[in-house]
Amino acid sequence: MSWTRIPTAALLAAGLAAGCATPKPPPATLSFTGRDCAAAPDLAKAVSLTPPKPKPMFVVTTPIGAQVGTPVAGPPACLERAGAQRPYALYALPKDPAGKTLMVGSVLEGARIFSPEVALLDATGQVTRSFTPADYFYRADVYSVQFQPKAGETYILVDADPARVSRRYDSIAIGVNTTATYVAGVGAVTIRTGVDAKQSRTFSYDGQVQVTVYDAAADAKKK
Amino acid sequence: MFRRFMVALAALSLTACASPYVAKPFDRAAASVQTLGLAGDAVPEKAMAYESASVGSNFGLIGALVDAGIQSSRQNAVNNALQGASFDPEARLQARLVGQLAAEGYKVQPLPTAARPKREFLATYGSDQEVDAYLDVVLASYGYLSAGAGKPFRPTAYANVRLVSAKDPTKTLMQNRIVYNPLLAEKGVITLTPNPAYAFNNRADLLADPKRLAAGIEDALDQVADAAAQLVR
Repeated sequence: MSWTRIPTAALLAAGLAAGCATPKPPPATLSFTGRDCAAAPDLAKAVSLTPPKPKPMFVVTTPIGAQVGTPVAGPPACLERAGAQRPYALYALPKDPAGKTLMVGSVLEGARIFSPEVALLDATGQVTRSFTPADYFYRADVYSVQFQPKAGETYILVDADPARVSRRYDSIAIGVNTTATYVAGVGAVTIRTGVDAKQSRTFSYDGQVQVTVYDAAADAKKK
Repeated sequence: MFRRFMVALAALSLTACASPYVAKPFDRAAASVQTLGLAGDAVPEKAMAYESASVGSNFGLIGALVDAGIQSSRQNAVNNALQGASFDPEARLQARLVGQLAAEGYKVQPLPTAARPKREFLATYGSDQEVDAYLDVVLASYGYLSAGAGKPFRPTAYANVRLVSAKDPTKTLMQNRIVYNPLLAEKGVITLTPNPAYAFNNRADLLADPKRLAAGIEDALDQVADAAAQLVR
């Protein structure tokens, strides 16, 4: 940490300039048109949730939606389900699911939240478990469901729920900022200031899916 | 109350460095639970009224001592005002929980509960109750919280929720943490955003209308109870 002696006005100006330079967060995408959407997910392309070595917490974050389509990689993976085209991400459950708890959902970005619909699939891709809207909670910065895998469950499918797209989530987040400064005649001083910010986000077809795998055995071993 | 809040905050910071908070989701189909014993003494005796980054807290030891006096005086004034508003947070939370759990199809029996020595889960729940599981909702703190000087006071509540099998009290069927208006949003913890209708600019504003003061906390407790019931649906 370095202490600085900079006039308040200069700090304020720098802060304002930084504020101007901050790029706007990506807005919500309220429609999605896929290309060659499949009836079932491509099981061969499932992202593994087995970490290279056991960890108490293993987090995988995946961009999803039209934003991930590129001329080289092609269009984003999509499904045709219940009369709607939906971008999706597919994950393979940890190889040894016993004692693991998973949190699956969407990251709360600056202006948007991917509208998640989470389901568990068996080894053939058939849905074995799904979740209702009441199963989803805001858990810190992830809108998610939480579950423990059962026998016969192999994959997690996360696709877009069109019913929630365009709904707003207004929230208030509070916190404390700590800054260090130098005051003539006093010395180094740490200043704590409160933050109370209103935020508004919209559910979207684009965003980031996040899966967190909690491993009780790895956590116990660490202790 | 202030000490309890700071201990909870410190524990939160420590857990961020050590083990992650891991909830246990409920599997209703596998658990076969129809009747719940609902533990009592869920709510602490006094509400908090705490300003986090206060002016005094930025001025060393003397500032901290002055700040402690200001915080304590505000908390006492808020609790006196709540008493005048016939505020009963324990009854409010329990009634809401019973209503929401009944709506989810549970039969609920309140458990006779002695005062908790600490704001933690009960160690035992008694064996003479004819219930399938014990639901323990315990608030570490509740009341009003401001992020810092010049920022509004908003309702807050910090609750731990646990469902324990009555047949095998060593078996936890569900465990979660619900925080209404958190100062630090801990990963994996259910966070409820505060209702903007209940924001108070300062101490005078907090004390101006005791009924509204109580209503803000009641609204927070209702939302915590709803979330707790949602976890066992």
